[in-house]
Amino acid sequence: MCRVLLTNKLIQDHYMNLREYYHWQITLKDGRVVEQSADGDKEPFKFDSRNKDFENVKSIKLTPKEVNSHELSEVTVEIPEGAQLIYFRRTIANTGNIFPKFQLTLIGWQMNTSPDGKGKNIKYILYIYPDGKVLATDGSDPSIEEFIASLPQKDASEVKGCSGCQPRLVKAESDGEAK
Amino acid sequence: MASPADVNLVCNSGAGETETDITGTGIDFISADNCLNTSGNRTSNPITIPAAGFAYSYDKWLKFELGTTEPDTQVTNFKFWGAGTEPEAGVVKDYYKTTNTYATPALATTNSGYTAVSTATAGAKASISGTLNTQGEATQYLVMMLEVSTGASQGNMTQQTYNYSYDEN
Repeated sequence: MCRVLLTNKLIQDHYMNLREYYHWQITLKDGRVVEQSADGDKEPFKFDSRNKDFENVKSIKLTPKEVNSHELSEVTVEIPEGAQLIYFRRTIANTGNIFPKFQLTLIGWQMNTSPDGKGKNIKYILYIYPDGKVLATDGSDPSIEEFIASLPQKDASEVKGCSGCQPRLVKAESDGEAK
Repeated sequence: MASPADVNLVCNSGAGETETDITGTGIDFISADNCLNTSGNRTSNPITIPAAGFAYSYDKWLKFELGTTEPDTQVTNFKFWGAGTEPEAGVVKDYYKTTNTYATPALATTNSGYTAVSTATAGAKASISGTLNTQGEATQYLVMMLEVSTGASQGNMTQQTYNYSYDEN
């Protein structure tokens, strides 16, 4: 019994949710606070121009969901005046499921140095990994290879699905016919 | 919030553009127009190694399509990349191109208009256009094919695995 309990504890301790591991909360310039809707519910807050409040975001706060709370920290980003919020969950997968599908969370902002939009576009994006690593960039994609290497990998013999796999090649005779 | 959007990798075949979800199964590069991934399919439709010049697989028409679970706002910024190597160095190469318009898959005859998959790497990902909001919407097509030249090894090849990513909010 003790052995089973210990095993379960180890599994729980090392379990990491690789997708949807944050809950967001947005504070608007007029002081209103918008919470992300509950799992499974329709999200009324749209992250594009259909939402008039999208241009009025003062800050965004990410709170770890319970399962990853031991790995992740709360993250808050203030959106400078004139800048626009950036928020995405980037899903990364492969056709053979060699490594499990996972998400990076991207939060930050972008702004143009000129009011007419013809200036330089500046970006500040935090890339948050499921294991809690946070990288601040100017928008350029950070490496994911190290994180992928840390994930459980399938052996080639376990791969059942892939895109463009195992074509069978046959030798041609000199007249072009296959043998 | 909605659950993560249901983004499927779809293969299209035939003049009528029959769709097959290959997210969990994959496809074969073969000398026929279908979206299967079976040993029998590969045995029945092999690619003949040419005595000279090149032989090609049928082109395979893939796209990303939204399934039943829609995103809160959108799914966009689709990327695709490989391991940076050729299936068999110098003699078996995989190629891709992107296009907005479907054409009935055909046996490829040239790599003109295509880009070697080996150039689409983690540091230089290929882009696939499309912003998806509602069920059934899809990206542009990712057309892939295999080029085989003299000197290729006979038999079943190693499986090829490709990576992809997309942004959702």
